[in-house]
Amino acid sequence: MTKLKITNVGRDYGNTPAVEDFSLDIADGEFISLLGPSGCGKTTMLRMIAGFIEPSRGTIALNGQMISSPSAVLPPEHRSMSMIFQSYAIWPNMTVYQNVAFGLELRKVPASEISRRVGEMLEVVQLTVQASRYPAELSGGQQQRVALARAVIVQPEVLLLDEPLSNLDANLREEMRLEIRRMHNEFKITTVYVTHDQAEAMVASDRIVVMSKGRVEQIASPREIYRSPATRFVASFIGRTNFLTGRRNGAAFEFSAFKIPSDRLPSASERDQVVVSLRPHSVGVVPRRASPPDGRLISIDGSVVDRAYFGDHWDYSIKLADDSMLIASVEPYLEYQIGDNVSLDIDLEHLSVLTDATT
Amino acid sequence: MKLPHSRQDDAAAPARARRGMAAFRPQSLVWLALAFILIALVANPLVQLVSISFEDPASRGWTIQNYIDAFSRVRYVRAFGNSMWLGVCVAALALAFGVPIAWAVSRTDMPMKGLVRVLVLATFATPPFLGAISWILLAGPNAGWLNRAFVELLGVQAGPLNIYSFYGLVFIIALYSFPYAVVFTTAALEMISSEMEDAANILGASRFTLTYRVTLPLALPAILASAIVIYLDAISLISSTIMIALPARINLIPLQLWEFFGYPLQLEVAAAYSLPLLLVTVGLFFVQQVILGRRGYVTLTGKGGERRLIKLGAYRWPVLGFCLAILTLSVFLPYLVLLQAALAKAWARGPSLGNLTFDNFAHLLFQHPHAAQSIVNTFVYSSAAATFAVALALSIAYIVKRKLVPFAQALSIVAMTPIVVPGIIMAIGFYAAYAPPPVALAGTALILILAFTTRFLPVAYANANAAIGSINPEMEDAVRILGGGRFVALRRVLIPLLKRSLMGAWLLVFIISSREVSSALFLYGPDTRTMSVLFFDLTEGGRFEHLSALGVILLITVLFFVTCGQLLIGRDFMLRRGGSGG
Repeated sequence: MTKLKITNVGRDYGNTPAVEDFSLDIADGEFISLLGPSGCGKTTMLRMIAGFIEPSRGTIALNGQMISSPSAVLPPEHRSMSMIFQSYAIWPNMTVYQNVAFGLELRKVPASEISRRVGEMLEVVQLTVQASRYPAELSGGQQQRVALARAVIVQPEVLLLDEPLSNLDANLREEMRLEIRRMHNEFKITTVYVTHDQAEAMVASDRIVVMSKGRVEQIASPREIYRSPATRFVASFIGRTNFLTGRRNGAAFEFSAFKIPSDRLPSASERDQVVVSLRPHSVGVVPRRASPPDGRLISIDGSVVDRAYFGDHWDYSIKLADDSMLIASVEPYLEYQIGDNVSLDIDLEHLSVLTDATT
Repeated sequence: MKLPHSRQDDAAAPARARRGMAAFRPQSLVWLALAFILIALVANPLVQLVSISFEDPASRGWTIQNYIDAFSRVRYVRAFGNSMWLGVCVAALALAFGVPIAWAVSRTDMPMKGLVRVLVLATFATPPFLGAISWILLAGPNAGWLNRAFVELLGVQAGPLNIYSFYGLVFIIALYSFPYAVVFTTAALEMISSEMEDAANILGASRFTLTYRVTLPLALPAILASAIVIYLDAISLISSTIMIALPARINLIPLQLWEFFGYPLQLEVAAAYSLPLLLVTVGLFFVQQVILGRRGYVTLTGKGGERRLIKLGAYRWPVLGFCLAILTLSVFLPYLVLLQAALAKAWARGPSLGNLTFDNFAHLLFQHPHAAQSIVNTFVYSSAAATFAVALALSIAYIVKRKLVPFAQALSIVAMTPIVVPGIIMAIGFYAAYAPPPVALAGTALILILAFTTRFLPVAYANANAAIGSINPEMEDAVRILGGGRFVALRRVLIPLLKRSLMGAWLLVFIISSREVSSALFLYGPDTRTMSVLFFDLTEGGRFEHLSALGVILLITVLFFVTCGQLLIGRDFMLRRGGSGG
């Protein structure tokens, strides 16, 4: 069932579009991440869902009811959503308990039920001891959990998160990332999560919306985003990659130093030219061999020109026959010297054809 | 931000939505209301001022005769020249007092800095006319205490000091405006990182070369800016001017305006005469903004970096001596003679048990026809003005900061405008706009309250703006997304968080209103005297002992509220540091 239906939404500031033509159907209970670099429009989109910003174009519907359109916007307080802010926005004039109870108070929940539910929630986020403390007396992680509890306790239709982990240090971030996912699994709240951190999006999301310069680049599951990036931007923003350009020549695409039969790249069948993304991890490096392997692998000859040891893997810069370069990441025990002649094994399954780039 | 229209072309929208969407409308009403209030308070008086300056008082027709009247006599034009020169001298002297104190307090290891800071604050808080009356007692020809001391100690015929002179006035004004120089310079010096000085040091500059070639030039924009503030203050100051320059027969702009405003009332000529002063003020204000803006990079880099204090060694005591000498002139001596006179049967007889009396206070409080009333008036008007100014400033600042309506910025510009308008000019504008029928507010409490509100609106606005700016808008967004409206957010979160800073702003406006002279003197009526107005009433034919007693009452009032503010803002500061959290 569709919880939130976003149709062709756009938002301009002056003549500059901050968000262009955003459409997405979010299912009940789904966890969606909006991922992109700062300035890509993800926060603007989130604040349009919340009702803080009205769209210049398009509509947003919640449970089939229109809540945002250029002509009328239902104010945030009537949307039954909740939100976790980048600054946490914990009210410093209220105790932990008062912060968490606030939303229930506004909903006119009877006092006895408020105290019961707040008590339970504080237990879930392990803040029972701190109930009567003021936010200034809490650590960053505890403040984060107050924000989480405050947002979740009202059982919102949709939970919105605006880069909630960006102010935490690395260890705490990891912990909170799992905590957020755990809360999601427990309460099954439809969630929209804004982040610029691909790892956060990968761990938590059912689907990821990758955005750049106000445009949606790709909407897909984390695995699909990584394995089959649709655009050059997605491929380079999520993980590292090699871009390879090939031209059609008869029944094959000719790349700089190798060929791929065109029937092996079905998504490019109509094109004269393709750009593919090849992850460094998808490149196998083996000692130079005489005969090509069989089956789905293709093999390219090259030589090691540079290398870097990262502990958990080696990065090799490989020069191909036509002097173009390729990065390969391999297991730490596969050691080659600079100047070694090697063969690269590439699984065609791991090549993804980019839809937006022709050069 | 664009306002959503409440057009309901979507029949499917839930009733709840319709109600919610309609609720957006009052914001434009609030904007209109605020715009109306601001026009009434700020714009209209200025427009009236300009308009009546071109108006023939008899026929109400258009004329430039007022300007001819205002500038045709040598005496009137000379007042202009005198005031300009006065401003220059005051600014120079105030810098000579203030800049060394600022340097000593912020960059050196001079002892007793805390005491020096408190005394600078006390100087700042002292109404200039109280300083003037004290210095009349100290340096009046013949009878002044210092002159008598000279005669006693040196055996000369007569003391050399005469406060009733041009340079006497310069001294009095500078003595109570040098804190501006201290405040501006200290702020700039505290932003200069020791690393900048180290950079010069490593190239071989000595400690004092450093101060003259690096430190002071870096602080120069701030020093110049303070000089402009002091200059503008001096040329439009009416209180000390009346007390010193009037007896000394030196004509100055404020006195000339006062004369036009007296009997017979020449309101139109006064308006014409005041416009050049207004232009000078506005012009210099923008010069000041440019100076601070352009070279202000030093002060605006934010983190000043680590600062080390310059070790003065044996010079510590002379430097402290300089600071304390100036503060003795501005605080210790004046307070002492004021208190002595207030408690004396006859001030010139000096302090002795037989001369001691509380009759002056008793006379003021219980017998004088206006004194008790004036004290009540001062409290009532100042509280009302502070309340209005803070409420108005808060509303405008909120709407501007949250961009609730289009053109909100225009409101903030109008709210800050009174800062460039000298009090006497504001008062003339208010008089022109609201004294005559049909509004007919002449001599009422309301016109005084509105004038105070307007005059100090920029102070309240700057405070409210900074306070709201320090609060993350997400605090309110969090209320709204959980189901609270804008007013719930204001009531439950914003106001509680702003409480202390707003009380600070309120106290500030209250304090400066309670000692306001320039607008009060032009607008009061028989029943609406404030303490400072009464003070000037008493200078004409009143006794110095009564005057001093009133001064002591006023001073105690002001210092009491300043102390409250210090405690409050101090505590607020600590709370804010802790409250911002991790």
